[in-house]
This record gives sequence, structure tokens and C-alpha cells, in this order.
Amino acid sequence: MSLLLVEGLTVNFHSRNGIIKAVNNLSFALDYGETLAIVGESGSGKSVASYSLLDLIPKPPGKIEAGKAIFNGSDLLTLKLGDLQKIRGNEIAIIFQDPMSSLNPYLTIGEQLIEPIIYHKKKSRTEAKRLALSILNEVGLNGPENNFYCFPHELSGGMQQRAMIAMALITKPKLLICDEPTTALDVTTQAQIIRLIQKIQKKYKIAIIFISHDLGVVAGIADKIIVMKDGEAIETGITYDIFYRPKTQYTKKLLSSIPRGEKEKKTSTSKEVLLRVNNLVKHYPVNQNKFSWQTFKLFNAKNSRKKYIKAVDGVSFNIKRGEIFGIVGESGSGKSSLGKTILQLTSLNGGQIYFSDKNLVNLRSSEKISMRKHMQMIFQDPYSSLNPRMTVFDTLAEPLLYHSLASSSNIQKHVFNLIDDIGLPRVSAKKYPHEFSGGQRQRIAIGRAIATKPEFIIADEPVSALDVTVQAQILELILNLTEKHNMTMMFISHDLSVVRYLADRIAVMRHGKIVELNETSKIFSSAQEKYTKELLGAIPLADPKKEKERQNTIMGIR
Amino acid sequence: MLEAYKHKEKLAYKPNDCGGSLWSDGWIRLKKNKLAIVSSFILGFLCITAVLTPIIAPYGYEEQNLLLGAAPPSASHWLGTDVFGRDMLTRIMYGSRVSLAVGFIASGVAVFIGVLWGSLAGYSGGRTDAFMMRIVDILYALPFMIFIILLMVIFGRNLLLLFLAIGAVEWLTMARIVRGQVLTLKQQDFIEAAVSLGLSNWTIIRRHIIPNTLSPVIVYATLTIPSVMLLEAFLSFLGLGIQPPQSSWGLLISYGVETMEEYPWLIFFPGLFLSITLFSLNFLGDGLRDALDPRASKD
Repeated sequence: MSLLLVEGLTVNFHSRNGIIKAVNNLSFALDYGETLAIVGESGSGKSVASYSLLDLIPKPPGKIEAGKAIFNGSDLLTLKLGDLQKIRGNEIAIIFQDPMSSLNPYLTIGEQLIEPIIYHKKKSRTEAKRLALSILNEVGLNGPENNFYCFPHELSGGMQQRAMIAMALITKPKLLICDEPTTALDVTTQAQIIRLIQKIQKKYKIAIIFISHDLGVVAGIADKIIVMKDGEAIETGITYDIFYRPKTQYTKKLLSSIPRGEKEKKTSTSKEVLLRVNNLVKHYPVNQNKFSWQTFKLFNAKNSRKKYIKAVDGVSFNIKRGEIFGIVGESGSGKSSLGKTILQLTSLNGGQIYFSDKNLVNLRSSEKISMRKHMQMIFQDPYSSLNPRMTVFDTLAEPLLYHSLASSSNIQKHVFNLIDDIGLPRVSAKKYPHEFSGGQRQRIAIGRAIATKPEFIIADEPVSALDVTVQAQILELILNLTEKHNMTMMFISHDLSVVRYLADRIAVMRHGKIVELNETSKIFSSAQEKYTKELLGAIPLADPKKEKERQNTIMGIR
Repeated sequence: MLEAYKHKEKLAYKPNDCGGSLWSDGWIRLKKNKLAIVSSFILGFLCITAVLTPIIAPYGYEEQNLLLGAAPPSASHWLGTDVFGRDMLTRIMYGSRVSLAVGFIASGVAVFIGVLWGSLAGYSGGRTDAFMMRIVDILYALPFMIFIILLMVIFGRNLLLLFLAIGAVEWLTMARIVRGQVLTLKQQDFIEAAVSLGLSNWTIIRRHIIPNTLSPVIVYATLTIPSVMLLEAFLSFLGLGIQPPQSSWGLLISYGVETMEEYPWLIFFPGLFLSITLFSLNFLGDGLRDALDPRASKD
């Protein structure tokens, strides 16, 4: 008798434009202590399928059309709301993707943590607090009082996700639904969180439904995998079968889009240095919201002890023409600040930046504008990097017209060339950003960046917001375009496997400093620094056997 | 450099242009919204009659008929007469000249200054922002009656000045709304992308910031128009605005209230016209807001 038995689950969304089949005839069974991974691209229905078990999909437009979901002997889909609420958070708990937005910013971690115990288990406050402290300890929140009195914004992303896990575990659920629990996190944090989930699963015999778009992440954790596409379960099987004997074309495609290895290296990179960064420093002042008499002494304010975060703390490197230079680091390592400082999007506190032997620091604003033609940026989030009220045509035409690289008579030709370059159909010109998917939006953003034919592009995590398959396409596009237009690129990412695929040389950043800088192959074969090795060790291997071995060695060491 | 850029603006209005633009696409969408189109026809009709009033009005606005007194609607006076026997239709038509003018001019002034001020302050940030918004705060703190009386005393009573004075009071809220919008917009990457493209600050404000603040601006503008119309009535009532025998809708309504029980048509008809105008404005405003937002459903 399995813990959860889902049969023929069908969920439709009724919109004005007709019925969308979000989940079509999905069936699976899950035992105590077992892990099922549901893998698919965004829009494949993987989240809808699991949320509909707890009736958490928006209704309308969503509607559960058919199916059964027997959990512990009762059908979840036909339960009354009152009975369902007793199961939600109590026997079935959920960990969401974005911990920051799923924690209430106005309540302390502790307050949010004891709420379900008081509600579901009818425990007293003191008893609840004792439980909460022990569970916080278990998930590794070991701050003073186990961060019980912390507010969510005082914790880092990884710690927030730990708090979310504590919250899910506190009622001792039988089933845990993890909806992309590590997608918003750094590689090293991701590895820690996954290890934590595994540890807890082993201890309490919890069944897990693990939703992810990344087969690589689930390799080490899943017993069974369902591959979903357009609401259908395309392939179902045990993890080894999916990885080593995939039956369908789509699964093979998913497996092949996990970035592995390196691109073919160009034989000749020129010796000419395009960008020289020398001892660059960027500080951000820290807001000290503490009330003090200093606040009143306006004239002393400048001399008073102002605290700074050293986002970039004395960084030097050269980038050669035609090279792809990778910058790797966790969030908060200062890699994005470095990119923005080089492009002069923020001021800097010290150091020099030479671009083809021209000092970029303290340029007059007219010179700056003409420099911008030669240096461009691709942003991380394609959803906020495009003006929602401008058509693709306007977005792509703007840099060309503004820098007089095209006139009104031939602008159409230029824009169509760009659209061809980025691999979109020409009819896209008339459309607005919201009509495109994330990957297509990123193509448009790339088109805008290369419109002026810049010599140098900074790509700031351009694929980290995208699905794995789309990620592979975008990386391919970036690689082709840099070669075609002979561009030099600085590629910023937290994902070592992505950087490995693209970059000729890699700089590893931590706390605003470059820890290690070397050729890609040397970084991967013979890393010198401990931190680099740590980063390398955290990359999920898309290979269940190797992942198991690695886990065993890690467990052995500890 | 900017020459080429200006061409772009013209290009955007070409009907067959492949790019389209916010405005031309918005126009296409607006045309599909029947309610908005009917509303704009009604508003257009009211404006035209307001302009043509001296020619087409059935009576002169000073013409009294004391023998008749307040008479209910009849064949010779379609909307009845007031206590002095003046024709209500004529008075409403003359009143629409003042009311519509004050509504549109004062709101226009308010929107223009408010959007410009708010987006400049929000986009500049830092000390400029603080300085500009403190000015707004100071103006907020001034009792606006004193402000307007002061203007009237200095420059003499002048209808256009009255409009400007009302507009100069109403833009404060608009500036705050727009600034708030701009502050959230500034966090978005597309503004940073525009900076890294090398666009000038003014181009960024004009092309990237202001179009994205339109939704709340339009909604607030449609709320401002009725409030300035009523403000005008209030000022006129105090003797600061227009004086009888001239009339405006607001004035007609406030006089109508006094005799509401005996002569209900004296408040009913001016009220009806004001309501129709406000309804039309609201429908048109909603239509415009949806039309200028590409994310609103395109069907």
C-alpha cells in the first residue's frame, strides 16, 4: 500500500482563448520514504500537477477534470475544504522556489514557525517554541537562539530556504513537495540544501515529490523520475533507466542540454589586450539605521564612522581581444558589481579601467555616450530588462537610431537582420515583450546588446533565469554571435558548468577579490585554491552513479 | 545624431510600418473599445456645442423673463427656466464653456507639471529628488485658498489665471504618484539597459519612464477633471471665480440645490450634464489605459 496513489489526474485551465490542458492523465505512486522527481520545462504542468493535490491551483480558471489521488486512504481531490486544511501543512508540506517571497517579511522566523504547530497540533506556545528551536537546530540554523527572533530579510537566501524547510518539517509531514527548492540558490548552497533534504528524509522516512527543470539536480536525490512535457508524462521510470537508458527523444534532449565539458577552443587568440582592469575598488555604504547623536551633527557626518561593504576590493585582470572571460562566484561575491563598474553604470572608488588603452574612469559624459557603443551588457532577468511598452522593433531600433548607425530609410533592414541573427521570426517585430517566453525575451535582449556591433559585451548571468533546454540554446546563440561579430565577452555566472562550456579563462571571485584566475581547463583539472575546489565539488553531476559515489565519500568524511 | 532619432518618431506613425508603436497600436486598440469611442463622441459633441454656444444658443444668457419665473420644461424652454425666467438650456450651454475649459485646462496643467516634476525628481534621485519633493511638501502645506486669493489679488480676476491656479494646486498629488512609480521603475533592468546603451537622461525619461507611468496618470487625470470642476464652483461661490449672470455647471448645481424642493429641474439638468461628462471621461480614461498597456489582452 503506497502513501500516495495518483490516477488519471487531469487539470484544465479554462481561459478566454479556449481550454489549456495543464495536466493530462497523470498517474504515479509514491511510497513512504521514497523520492519522486517531476522534471520538465516551465509550462510543462509539473507544478500544477503537485499543487492540484492540495487544491492550491487558482480556480477558476483551473479545474480538476478527472482523477483520483488517494493519500492515506482518502481521496484528496474530493475532500471538503475543512478536511483538506487539516492535511495541508500538516501531513503534506510544501517548500517553494523563492524563499524570500514565501516568508512573511513582517513576522520573525520563529513566529512563522510555531504557527502551524499551534494550529495543527494544538500545542502551547512554550512547547511550540521548544519544538521550533530543536527543528531550527536540525536544519542548521545555529545562530544565537537559532535565529528564532530573526526577520526573513536578515537571513541569506540559503538560510531562508533552511527556515522554509524547518517550517515544512515542523509538523512531521508524511509527504514533502519541493517545488524547485534550489533554483534561486547558488551552487554551493544548492548542494547543502539538497544534502539537508536527503538527511531529513532518511531520518523521518518522508516521501518527497521533487519538482525541477534540471535533470542534473535530481540525479543524486530521486528514486523515480517523471519527465513531463505539455501536461503529459512523457517518460516514467527509475532514475538509472532515465539517465542511462532514456527511451524518448525528449528525455534525450533534456539530458543533452545539461552543459558538459568545454567548447572547442579556438586555436589562435590574439595577444592584444582589449580591457585592462587595474586594482578596481567599489564600496557600497551600509545603512546604519541605528539612532545616534551623529545624525544631528550634520557637519561631523562625513567624518563619522560610516560602514562600507567592499563589493569589489582591488581586482585586476586583462581581457584579450576575442576572448570569453568567465567570472564565477556566489551571490554577494561582487561579480555583478564588477560588471556594472566596468561599464560605468555605477561610480567606482578606486582603480583604473583601460579599454583599448583609453582610460574609462572620469570620462566626460559625451565621451561616455560614444564609448557605450563599444561596450554593452546582457542582463540576468529578461522579464525586467525589456521595456514592456516598446515593441521588439522599437527596442532593437533605438540603439541603432540613437547612435546614428542607421537612418529611417534603412532601419527596417537593419532590424530585420538583427532579428534573423537572434533566431526569431520576423513577425516578432510587431510584438511586445510579454508575448514572448523567457528564452525569446533573452534573445531580444541579446539583440539589443549587439545592435551597435560592440567590441565588448558583459553578460551578467544571462541564462540563470532560464530552463535547461532553453539555456543550452541561448549559450549556443551567444557563442555563435561572439564568433560571427568577433566580440569579446566577459561572462558572469554562478554556475561553473555553464562558464566551463563558454569561457577561455575563468576568474573565481569571493568577497570582492579574485581568488584564482586561470585557463578553463586548468581550473577544472588542477584547481589550486580550496575555495575553487569547493565550488567544483558542488556542481551537481548529471549522473546518478557518480553522484552516489560522491555522496558516499562526503558522508564518509563527515 | 538626434536628427536621425527624430525621424524615428515620424516613422512610428506610418500605418504600414512594421514596428508599430505604443501610440499607433494604442489607437488601434482604442478603436475596438465601443464604450470609449461612444464616450469620446459625446465629449466631442459637448465641446463643439460649447464652442458654438454664442451662435446656436436659443436665448441670450442675460435674457430674463421675470413674468415667467421658474417654469418647468416646455416647448419654448426645453429644460425649463430659473427663478428669473432665464432659459436653462442656454445657461447650461454657457456653463459648459467654463466647466469644460476649467476641467481640461486645469487638469492638463496638473498632468503636465506633475508628470514632468515627478519623473524628473524620481529619476534624478538623491538631493535633487529630496529638494524637489520638499518643494511639493511646502506647497501642500500652504492653504490653497490663500494661494489662489493671493494670485487673484496680484494679477486681478482673470478666468485663464483661475484655471492655471487650480492646475497649479492639483499637480502636487500627481507629482507624488508619478515619483513613486518612477522609483519602482528605476529598479528595473531595462532602465539600466537604456543607460548602458548610452541614451541621454532626457531620452530615457521620455521614452522609457513616462510611457510606463501612464496607467496611474490616466486614472488620476480622469479623477482630477471632476474635482477641478467642483473646485471652480466653490471658488465662484466665494466670489473668486466667475460671477453671475455668467454661469458654470458647478454654479448652476449649487444654486439648484437651494431650490431643489420647489424647482427640481434646476438641479436635475445641470447635474445630468455633469454626470454624462464624468461618465464619458471615466469610460474614455479606462479605455485609454487599457489601450496603452500592451499587456492588456489583445483580441
